[in-house]
Amino acid sequence: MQMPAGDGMPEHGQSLAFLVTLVIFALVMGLVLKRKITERFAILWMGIAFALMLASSFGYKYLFRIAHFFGIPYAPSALFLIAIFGLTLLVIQLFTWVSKLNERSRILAQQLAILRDELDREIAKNRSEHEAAGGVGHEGDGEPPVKTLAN
Amino acid sequence: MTGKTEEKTSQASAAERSHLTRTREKRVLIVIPAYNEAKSLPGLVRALSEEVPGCDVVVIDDGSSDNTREMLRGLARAVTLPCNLGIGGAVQTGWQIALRENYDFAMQVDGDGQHPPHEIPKLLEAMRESSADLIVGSRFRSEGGFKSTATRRMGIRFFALMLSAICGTRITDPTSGFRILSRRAIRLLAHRYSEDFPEVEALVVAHRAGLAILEVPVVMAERSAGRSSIGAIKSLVYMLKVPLAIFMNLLRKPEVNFWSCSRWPISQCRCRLGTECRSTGNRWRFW
Repeated sequence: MQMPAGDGMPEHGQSLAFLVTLVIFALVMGLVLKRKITERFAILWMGIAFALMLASSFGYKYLFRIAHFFGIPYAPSALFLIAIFGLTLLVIQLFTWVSKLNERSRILAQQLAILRDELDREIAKNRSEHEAAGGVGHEGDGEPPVKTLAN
Repeated sequence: MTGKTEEKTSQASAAERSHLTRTREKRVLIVIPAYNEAKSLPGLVRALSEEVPGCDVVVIDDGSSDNTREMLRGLARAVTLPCNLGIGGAVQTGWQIALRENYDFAMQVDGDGQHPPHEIPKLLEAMRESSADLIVGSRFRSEGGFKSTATRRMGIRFFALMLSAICGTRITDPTSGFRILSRRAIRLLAHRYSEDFPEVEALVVAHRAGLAILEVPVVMAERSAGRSSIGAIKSLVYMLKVPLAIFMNLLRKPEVNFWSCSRWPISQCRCRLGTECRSTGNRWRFW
């Protein structure tokens, strides 16, 4: 099968590219349906898969023009360009989320530590109050018998 | 920030200050971040209770794997983080405690024994006397004591020049973790404190938020036990990360009037001057 120079991928290659993107699309959709990816992340994934699907089917002839315009000698590598661009976006999005999760988990850890400390102190206070009330009985009427544990 | 709000702020904070001085003695919280410092901590805590008996001490145990918590039982309040957050996360926890419990001043003292307790009154005194919000104890303004290794001194010098240029005042020891914060500084740094290598960056954050920074000469000691957490590779990361963070801070819009209420981050409320706090309904008079 002879293809004219600059035309790039033979038919099989095109259908392979289409098939792969279709699989990615279906996979992401399945994961969203099973709630393994949130819709928020799926948007970008599906967008990339969709763009690649278009580019490898109906948009295939435009792909050649675009490649020609940018001076890419081997047109199907424009598909890679789109894919790499999309993946870069995806990685950046992932990084922002990792940073956000990192901050959230830090705040959670700090709050957990502070609240646990407060709880411990409260429990100790109550215990000593209880002991003082049970053991010694009420001494006078003013001072609560807790002061010992404060320092 | 417009002139009007500035005027308002200074008036309000002055009113707040005089109100505080009239009613009661300042409450001070000493924050000790500690990661596997069980050897030196009990001694430090005992020394603190002798030298500065009026201050409350809280040790932030940054997920230590040694028996830090057991060693401190009955000696000092220990707040244990469920996982290791790094020095920044630990110290920030201390600022958050100070904010929650309405301390007037919060102070950082490192757990490795480099910051001798008998130097603390110098910082406290400076805080009471001056109107600065963040006071750093500088080992290079004093005679004698431990001055760190030669290579580290070079790094410190680099940051000192940088910070002096940014802040417009002479700063000699920006990496020093021996510092005391006013309530305004606590409020700011409880929210904005970077996780790793936070000391230098915190100065820039504070300066950009309009806080006054001051240095006081102190004499530091060599660490009493354990090893520094910053090795060769970490030093390199330090030299790359901190300038980048400073640069980013300079590019950001300065957080003037940045204010979050004491319930943060549970409330996630970020109220600004003159606005009503969404979670408490208070109308803030200062900052």
